[in-house]
Amino acid sequence: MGCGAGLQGFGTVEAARRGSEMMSAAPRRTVLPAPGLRVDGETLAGTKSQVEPLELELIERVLTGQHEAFRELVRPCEHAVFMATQAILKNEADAEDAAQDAILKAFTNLATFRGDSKFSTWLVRIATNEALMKLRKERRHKLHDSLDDGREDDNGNYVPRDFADWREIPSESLQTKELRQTLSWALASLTPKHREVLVLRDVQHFTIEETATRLGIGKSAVKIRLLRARLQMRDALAPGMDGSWSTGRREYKQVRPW
Amino acid sequence: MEGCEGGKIRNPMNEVYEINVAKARLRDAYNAGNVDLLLMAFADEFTDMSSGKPSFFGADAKSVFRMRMTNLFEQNQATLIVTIIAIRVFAGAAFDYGWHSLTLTPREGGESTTTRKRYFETWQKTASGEWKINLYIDNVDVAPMMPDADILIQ
Amino acid sequence: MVIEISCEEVWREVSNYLDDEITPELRARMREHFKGCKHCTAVLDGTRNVMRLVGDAKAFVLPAGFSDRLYQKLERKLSKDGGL
Repeated sequence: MGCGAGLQGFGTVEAARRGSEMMSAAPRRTVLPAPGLRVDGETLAGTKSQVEPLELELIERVLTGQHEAFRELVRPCEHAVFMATQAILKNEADAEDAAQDAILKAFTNLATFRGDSKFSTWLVRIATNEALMKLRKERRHKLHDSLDDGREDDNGNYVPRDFADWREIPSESLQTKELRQTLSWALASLTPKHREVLVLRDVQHFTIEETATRLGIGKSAVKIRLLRARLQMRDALAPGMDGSWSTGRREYKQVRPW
Repeated sequence: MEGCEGGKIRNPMNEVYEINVAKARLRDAYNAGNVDLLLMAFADEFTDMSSGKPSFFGADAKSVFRMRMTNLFEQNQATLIVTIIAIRVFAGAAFDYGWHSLTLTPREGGESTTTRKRYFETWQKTASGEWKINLYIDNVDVAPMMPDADILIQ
Repeated sequence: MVIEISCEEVWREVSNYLDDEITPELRARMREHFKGCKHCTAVLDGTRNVMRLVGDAKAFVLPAGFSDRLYQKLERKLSKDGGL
């Protein structure tokens, strides 16, 4: 069954619940479904969870030579793995390479998995490390990356660039490639440390505490980075905030308050 | 070290908070039509450069201000909405700026009028540690508007 | 009495406000500020909507063919190394 009860990449709350019911033989925690969508199917209980019995079964099958079982094991985690590498490596192709390498590494080292965390947690950790290694290698060759064009006031606080009144962007607009590309671009424009917290907290819906644990930083560091990440994303998405995402109008009236 | 009351060093965030408190009292004094309470927000000698009126400074300013406000509250029910943009604190002095949106409803009946002014005021810290306004200046707010496109392109 | 708060402080706390990581007093002060300040309200609403958009599973999709390319790579590795 694996991370998301055998679903293709995107787990819905509904399906996760259905999947959980199917695993009723195993002892279950009662958890509330995430307010948004938990695409990797992880529970809100976070990093302390144990490996699921069905994951363990699949792992054992892989180790005895039934390699097809690995595909079933990993498929529900693919999205989380890709999100983890993309959080660190802006370039989609690099992120895919790192994700693939991480999954292959997990395959090679599957026997070393101790079952003291969920399989997806272990896999995502490998992916994060893989992406970080790749990033360090890149940095040796390139000059300082990442535009950090946020303005700071005298006290080092992020000052919003724009005060346009948001018109609610309906989630149907996400079907437009343009909006998705802009979201990706906006995410890529953040520095890695800001991108990481945004992906963990707002994309993957981990709590602030879980995010802090995963990144090995304090809660207040997470909060400070989240502030800048979110405000920067908002400024990056500003063109279109006056409604042109839904109406398709191209001109945009930037607003200054004073 | 933070906020050590015996010494001279105090947490700047506490000072910002105190000014926010003083501003809230000023706002509530307007809304209650309470002139005495309102005057407590101001230093004994302050400079009044409110728009549309003659400037006053020194000891005169407070008595003129008292007269104006007594008049205002006698004739109107006032509602003040304060929007502080920023507060800056230095040793013993501070300033803040933002908007005051004042709605006056004539007690004898008639339409309410709301005027939004942008303001700047400076504060001083009295010997007893209270923050008081020692200069006030404002002017009528102008709605946000981007310059014409041809100016921007340059 | 609801104590005032400046726009600057509001911008500093807007993220915590949305995560409900602030004291009740600060929340009350910010709520009152939002009533009178449409620019800070715009920042709040905009930030909330950014969170909603990026949190939607449709926002970031796996690149097309990701799974296939992954398992092709795995197959190549298996045929090369002969398994674990």
